[in-house]
Amino acid sequence: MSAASEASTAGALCVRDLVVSYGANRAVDGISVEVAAGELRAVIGPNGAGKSTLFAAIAGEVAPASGSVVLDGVDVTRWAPHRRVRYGVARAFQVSRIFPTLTVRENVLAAWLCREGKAQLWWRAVDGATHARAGVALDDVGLGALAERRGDSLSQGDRKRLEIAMALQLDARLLLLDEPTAGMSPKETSATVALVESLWRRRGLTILLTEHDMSVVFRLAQRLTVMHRGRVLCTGAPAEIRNRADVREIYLGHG
Amino acid sequence: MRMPLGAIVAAAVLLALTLPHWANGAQLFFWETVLIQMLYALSVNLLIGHAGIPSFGQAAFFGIGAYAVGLASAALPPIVLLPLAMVLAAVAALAVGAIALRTYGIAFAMVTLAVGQVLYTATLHVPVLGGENGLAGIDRGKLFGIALGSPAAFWYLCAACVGLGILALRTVHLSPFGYLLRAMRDDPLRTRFLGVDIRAQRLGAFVVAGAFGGLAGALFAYANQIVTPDAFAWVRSGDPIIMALIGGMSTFWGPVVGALIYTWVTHAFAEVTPAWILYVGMVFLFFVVVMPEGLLSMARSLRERLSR
Repeated sequence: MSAASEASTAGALCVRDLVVSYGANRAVDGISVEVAAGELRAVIGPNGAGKSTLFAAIAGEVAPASGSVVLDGVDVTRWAPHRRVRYGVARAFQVSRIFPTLTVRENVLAAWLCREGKAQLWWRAVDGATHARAGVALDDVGLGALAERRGDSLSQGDRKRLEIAMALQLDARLLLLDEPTAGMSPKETSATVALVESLWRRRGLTILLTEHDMSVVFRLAQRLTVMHRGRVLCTGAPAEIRNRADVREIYLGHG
Repeated sequence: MRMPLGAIVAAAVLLALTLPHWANGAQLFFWETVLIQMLYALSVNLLIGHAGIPSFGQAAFFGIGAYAVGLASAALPPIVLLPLAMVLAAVAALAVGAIALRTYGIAFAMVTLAVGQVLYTATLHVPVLGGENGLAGIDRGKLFGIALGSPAAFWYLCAACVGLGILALRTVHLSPFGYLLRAMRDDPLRTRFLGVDIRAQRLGAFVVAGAFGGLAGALFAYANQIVTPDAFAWVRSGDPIIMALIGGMSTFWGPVVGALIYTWVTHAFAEVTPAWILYVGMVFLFFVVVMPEGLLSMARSLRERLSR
């Protein structure tokens, strides 16, 4: 009971009137989104709708011109990215970013050491138990067999899974997944969907994801937010969104 | 088929312990130079090879260590002066890094090069630093009552300091900080989004490299018993990079192997021809063309291919 209530009070995201401009282009043009703690929300929309920019602003990679990002009641709008990570925001990038010359195990190890706040600990070697722990975390996402391979030897699908594994090391309450199945084979896609779903159920974290593959969206998301030209068109349950005429229209390209 | 690291280290320690019994003074001096270059190249490679911070001005910290000994050897014993040289170099690195690390890549390399050159010029014009002639007559002093004037006694001090220095740098390499340095080199943005303060991480690497560069410089001054502006010269920043390249920048032990090869080749050619630098250059070209990843990286990838 206490674990469940703990999980349901962490990771509530509230984005209000957010504006992000690149020169004259307002990539995010006054967006407000509320995501309840423990919710799995998908943000969809055509290319250029501003989804990735919205994610970048929530993570702290780009500074908004105005508006606010509030996580669990704390305004993090002006926080540096590393501070937000420590507060509980983890992300996986659209084009997966892992450490190519480190081994797969060292990739996960690096993330774990960060979560432990040890990035600046220079006077003691990492002990065997910590190395072993990273190996166990890899088994968790089905990458155990690849632990000693270099990061850049992985397939695109495995890179995405590794990045999710790294994000999970951070013990985030809010996980941002930017197109977690982009570039994957159907088999990899379905394995990743299962992975995200089981992690979400087990850990009770809040997940915000973007995705082009609608079968993934409808299988995973509890609620959808549709973006178009830097604004929110609508938010609702999958069944509700599926039947809206305006959503169909922007996806057919007449918007 | 892993490298028998333990066996190599044991052999090196045995060699170091027995060397004074069968080597003459000149040979001992040569091997002291090799050891000091190993330590210096390792410190530079921590920065350039592992943290991905391209400094062309590490001579600044080598020189600070060397001049600290040059100025204070009469007043302080080595057991105080060696750590003090490290601290001075570290503080200087903190100050330089706090400003220079606002830039990246080539711009950063140029700033560090400029810092080194400024200090080089300062040694020429500040009277207390001895000008072109530098500071001669460095007193090696005593350690636990043993005078270090004799070649053998100083050899043991030098070997012990370098040994401890390598051990310390190896620990840094295998520490959380070390892993995150290499992660940052691979992908700074990803590292930031693991919660790492990149600026603090870069500054940390610069300070550690500066401190051990300072130790190498201090030992160098004791070994030569004279310190000249050459300690700050830009080639002194370039040499350790060449050593690291020869041995393999992506490995820990590469700079150690590279320093051995480079120092030995330089020494061998300098004995037979005044045009030695030409031949050293050719040897270096050979390494860059034939094994651009360095000797140890090549050995490693060969091993990986064989074990598949």
